[in-house]
Amino acid sequence: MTSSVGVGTQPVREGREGPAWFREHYEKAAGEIVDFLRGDAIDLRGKDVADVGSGDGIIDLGVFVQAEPRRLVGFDVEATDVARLLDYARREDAAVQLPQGLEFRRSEQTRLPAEDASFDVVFSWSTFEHVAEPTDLLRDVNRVLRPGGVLMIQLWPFFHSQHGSHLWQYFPDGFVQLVEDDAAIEASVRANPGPDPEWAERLIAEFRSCNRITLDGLQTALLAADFRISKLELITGGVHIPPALSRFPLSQLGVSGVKLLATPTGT
Amino acid sequence: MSSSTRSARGWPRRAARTARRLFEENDPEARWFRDHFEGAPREIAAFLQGADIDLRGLRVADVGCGDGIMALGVALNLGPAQLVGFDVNPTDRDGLLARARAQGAAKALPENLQFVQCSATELPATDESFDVVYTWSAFEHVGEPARVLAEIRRVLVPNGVLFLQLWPFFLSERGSHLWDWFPQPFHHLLSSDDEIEEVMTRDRNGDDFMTRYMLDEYKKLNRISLDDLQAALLEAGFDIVRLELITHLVALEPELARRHRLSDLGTSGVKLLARPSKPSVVREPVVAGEVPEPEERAQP
Repeated sequence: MTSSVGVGTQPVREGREGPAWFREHYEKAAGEIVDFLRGDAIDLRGKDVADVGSGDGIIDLGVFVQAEPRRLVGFDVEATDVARLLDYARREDAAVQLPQGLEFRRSEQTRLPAEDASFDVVFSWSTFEHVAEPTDLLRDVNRVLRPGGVLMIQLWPFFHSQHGSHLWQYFPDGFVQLVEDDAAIEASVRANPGPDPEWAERLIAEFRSCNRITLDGLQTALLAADFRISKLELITGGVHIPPALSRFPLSQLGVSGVKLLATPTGT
Repeated sequence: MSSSTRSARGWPRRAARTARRLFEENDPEARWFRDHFEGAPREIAAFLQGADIDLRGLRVADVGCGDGIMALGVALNLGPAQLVGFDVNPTDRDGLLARARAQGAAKALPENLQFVQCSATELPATDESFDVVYTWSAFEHVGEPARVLAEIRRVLVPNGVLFLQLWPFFLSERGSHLWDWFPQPFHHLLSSDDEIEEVMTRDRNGDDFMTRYMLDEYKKLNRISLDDLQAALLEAGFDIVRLELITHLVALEPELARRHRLSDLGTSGVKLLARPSKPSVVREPVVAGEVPEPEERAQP
C-alpha cells in the first residue's frame, strides 16, 4: 500500500521485504487491478499501460505477468529501484530479470514523461492520497491517454477514514489523525518507534504527505480534469466512532477507500 | 426450518439447503419470509454482538415493523422479554400467523410479541420503556426523521441503544424501490417523476393496486442521504457509536457523477448503532459534505 508519488516508499528493512508484502502486491493487488478492468471487458493483453505511482514496482511486475500488456511503464516521483525489485523478485521466485516491455520512469509531481495519447490504460494504486496537485496530475493522465482509453484509480486509505493516517501499527484503533494534532501524533510515534526508527520516520513522512482528499474531492478533481466516471466501488468496513467525532460526516468516516474507472470526456 | 442432522458428512443438510434455494427462486413469498424471519434478525444479532449487546431478556421495540415477519423472527429467535412492533399501518396478526404457519416457522404468535399502531411522528409508549429499539429498511419512508428519532430517544432508557438499518438510500442504485418496473440501476435519477409515473401507469398488465401503492410510496420517500440521517440523529440527541456502510460495485451513466456526489451514489445503505447522548451536550447538526478545516477538528 505504499506506492506513492509524494513520498519515496521503497521498503527499507528486511522485515518489510518479506514474502507476505511481496504476495500482497504481486498477486493480490495486481489481481484486483486486472479483475476490476476485466469486469468492464477491458483486457490488458497487447495494450500500452501506465502505472502512476509505481513505488517499489511489485504491482507492476505482477500486472505484467498476469495480464501480458505490450508495454507497461511505471511512473513515480522517486524512480522505482529496479535492482532492488529484481533482488526481491528473485528471492520470491517471481522473476530473474525485468520482462521485455516493463520499464520504470521518474516523473514530476504533475507531469508524466510521456507522449500525448500514448497509453490505452492507466492505473494507479494507493497513490492519489499523496498527490500534491491531484487535478493537475489527472489532467496529465488525460493527456497521455489515447482516445477510448481508461483510467483505473484505487485510493486507500482516505485521510478521514479509520486508518487514513497510514500509522495503524502505532494507532490500531484508528482516527487518531482526526482527534489529535499532527505534532502530537509524530511525537507519539517517535517516542515509541518500534524496532526500526528509520522506518518510523518513513511512515511519519507518509502521514505528512497525505493530501487529505475525500471521495467527493477526488470526484471534483476527476471532473475538472475532463474525466467521466463510469464505475464505482467503495471500500468500507465496520468502524467504531469515537465520541469526539460525532459531528464528522459519516460519508467520510465510513468510506475507507475507492476503486473507480474513468474515461476522458473527449472520447 | 427443517434440517437433517443424521449424516456425519452433512450432505443431506446441504442437499436440503440447495433444494430450498432452488424452490425459493420460484417462490417470492418463501424468500421474502426467510429474508425477514431469519436473515434480518441474524444480521441484527451479529451487529449487536460486535457491541456486546444481547437481546435476551430485554425490552425491544421495532419501529416500522411492516408485516411483522422480522419482529416475529426476533421475538422467537433472539429471546427478548418483550417485543413491540410499531408501524403507521396496523400489522395484521392473523395474516402474519397464517404466513408463518405456511412457511413452517411458527404454530402461534409468541406471548412476548405485540403490535401497536403509531402515528407518523409519535410512538404510543411511555418514556424510557425500552432497552433497545431497532428499525430495518424503514427510515427512508419516514416523513420527519428527526422527530421520529426524538420519539425513539424518549422511549429508550438512558443507557439504551438504537440499531438503525436503512436500505436503500434514495441516491443509490435501487433507491426508488421500483425495480419490478425499472430494472436499470439509478433509473429514478435519470428520468423525472412524471416520466416514472407515466411508465408505471401506462402498463395496466400488472397488479394495479400494487402499482398505485408503490408509486405512492416512491413519492413519499424522504430522499435523505447518509449525512442527512446523521444530522437527524444528532438533532434528536443521539451519538453514533458504530457504523457500517452497505456498498457494492455500481456502473454509472456519465451524467450521474456530474450531478451527484460519489459518496451518495456508492452508498446503498447503512447499519449503525446510536446511543442517547448525555443531556447536557448541545450539538449543532452536521452540515452534509462539509469538510472541517484542520483547526476545526475535534479535540481529544
